[in-house]
Amino acid sequence: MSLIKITDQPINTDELTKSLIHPEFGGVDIFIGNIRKFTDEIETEKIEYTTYKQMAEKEMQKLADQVLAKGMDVVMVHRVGELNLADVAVFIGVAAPHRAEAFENCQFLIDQLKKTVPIWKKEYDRDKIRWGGLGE
Amino acid sequence: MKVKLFSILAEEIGATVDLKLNDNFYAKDVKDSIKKSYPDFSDILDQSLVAVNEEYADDEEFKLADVTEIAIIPPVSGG
Repeated sequence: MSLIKITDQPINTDELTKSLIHPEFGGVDIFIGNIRKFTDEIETEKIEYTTYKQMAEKEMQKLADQVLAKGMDVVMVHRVGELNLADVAVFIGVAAPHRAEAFENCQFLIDQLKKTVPIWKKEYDRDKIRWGGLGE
Repeated sequence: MKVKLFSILAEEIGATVDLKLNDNFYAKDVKDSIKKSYPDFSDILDQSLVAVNEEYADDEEFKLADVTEIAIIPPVSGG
């Protein structure tokens, strides 16, 4: 049972991982993206995520459908709102018969999510505020 | 037509902008129209995409009568 959603609640990674365990899938690959403190010398204090929710969930579903069509299971959950250091921002999980396709498709989903899904971060760094995607 | 804005554009300009669009229009017209009123945001608008009815718009022509929602999508930064 695939699960695709954007939430303003904390992401329960244990529960989502368990949902990917099925007898037909021998490999589960999970990517968890957290709020990182340092990006080189830039120190981040918190990140606020916003989204165009309906479109974002549609775009996530389009990505998931490509993997589901290959007979795998998919979980994609992104959190929005104000997140603190080490909070989980995104959970991507792919369950597949074998590990190679689980690795490959999990990477595909997170890489594409970062390119096409309308979610934005406003990064509160120690020196100033930075908007993700816009550079300096 | 109310056009939805997000991210830095929503914070600086507002959640929506009201635009007068022709009965037939292109995605580019939407950005050009906002640029006229908000020239300071031309750079960001140049980097942004337009979504029509919750789908990314290419170079196709739209009929205003078929459009229920338009949004400006600044460079995304999820994950």
